[in-house]
Amino acid sequence: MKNNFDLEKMQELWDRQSQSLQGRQLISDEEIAAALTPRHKGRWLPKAAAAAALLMMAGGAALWLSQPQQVLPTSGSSTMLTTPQPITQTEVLPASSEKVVLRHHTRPLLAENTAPAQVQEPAATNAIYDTVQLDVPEAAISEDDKKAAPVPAMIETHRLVTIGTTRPEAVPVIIEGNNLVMLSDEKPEYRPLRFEEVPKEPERPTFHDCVIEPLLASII
Amino acid sequence: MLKKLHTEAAFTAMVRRNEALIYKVCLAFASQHGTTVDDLKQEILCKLWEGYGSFRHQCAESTWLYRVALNTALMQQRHEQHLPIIQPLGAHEEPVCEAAEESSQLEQLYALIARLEPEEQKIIYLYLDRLSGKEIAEVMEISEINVKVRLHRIKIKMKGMAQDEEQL
Repeated sequence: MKNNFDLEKMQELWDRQSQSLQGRQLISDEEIAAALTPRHKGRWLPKAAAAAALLMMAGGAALWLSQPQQVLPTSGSSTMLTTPQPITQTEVLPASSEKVVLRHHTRPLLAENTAPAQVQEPAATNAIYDTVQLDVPEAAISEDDKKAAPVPAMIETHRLVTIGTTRPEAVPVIIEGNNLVMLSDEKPEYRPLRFEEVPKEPERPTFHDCVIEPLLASII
Repeated sequence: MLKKLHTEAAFTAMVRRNEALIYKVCLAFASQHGTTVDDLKQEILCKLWEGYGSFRHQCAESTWLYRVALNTALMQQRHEQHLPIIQPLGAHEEPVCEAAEESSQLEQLYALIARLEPEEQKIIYLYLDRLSGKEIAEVMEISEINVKVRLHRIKIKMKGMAQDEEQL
């Protein structure tokens, strides 16, 4: 061929090859069926892709297993208040059910001349509480949280609490609408409160999130 | 569901009508690379099925098939270029020519084609498959004159390559 390379002759050779293929089944029904099947279901995966998918599965499974169990409250109100300031001078007493009593060792919360005009419930604010009951599920407070807040708390029955700030002494606060009003000696400070929905279901990643999704993504 | 079944049946019929066309592309392009005829066939079938939904029959069925099959084969060729060519003894694909001499000549022809540029490979393949200049132009989406010019250059190039091999 090399000596007398002639494309016309090659064409004749090509024709003979074509003729020899006539009448033969060159593509099987299985091969056509495999092509009609979505790739990630029935098609052969290259070895490298399969190995990568296996690694991803193993990694995803390890990640899933390493997730700590989250115990979240399943009862109570649908809103949760997160205080932006740490609670200090607080003694956490175990309580029945899901309530924890936070006992504040405080002096009288409000001096007579510091009640701000914005306070909507003067009767309540004038009261002096040294025990405030917060609706804080026991499970939501870790051992560390018991020593140093912030503690997610839903203030349910009492509108007047005392929380600690960066200042050493406790500061009385009032919940006013969506604001936490810190009644310092000089001027009340307003801090917006953050309300969060309490998730009904634990937010633990599922096997599907950790393994199946990445696997499908790697294949597609 | 009914539409899906109808589409699948139409696709299967199209493949059956053109299986020699598909198979010959596989023979020509698989033999020189690390892939097998079966792998390349499966890849081409998958690509055809992926594109079948968007095939509007604005060109001849064979034109579209050539386009997809050749592009897939060349794409596969690029992917396989970094792999060593594995051809165990006696592991040739099905001998399609009765005479061993012819089979050997075809192998050499495939080897020559593999050394051309991808676009040139397509043109010479279509030429060998007896497509007219107009048909080649349709598949390649270039003008007929351009096809003639390129074909002329490819013939010279292939003769040169054949002579070089002879000297070696």
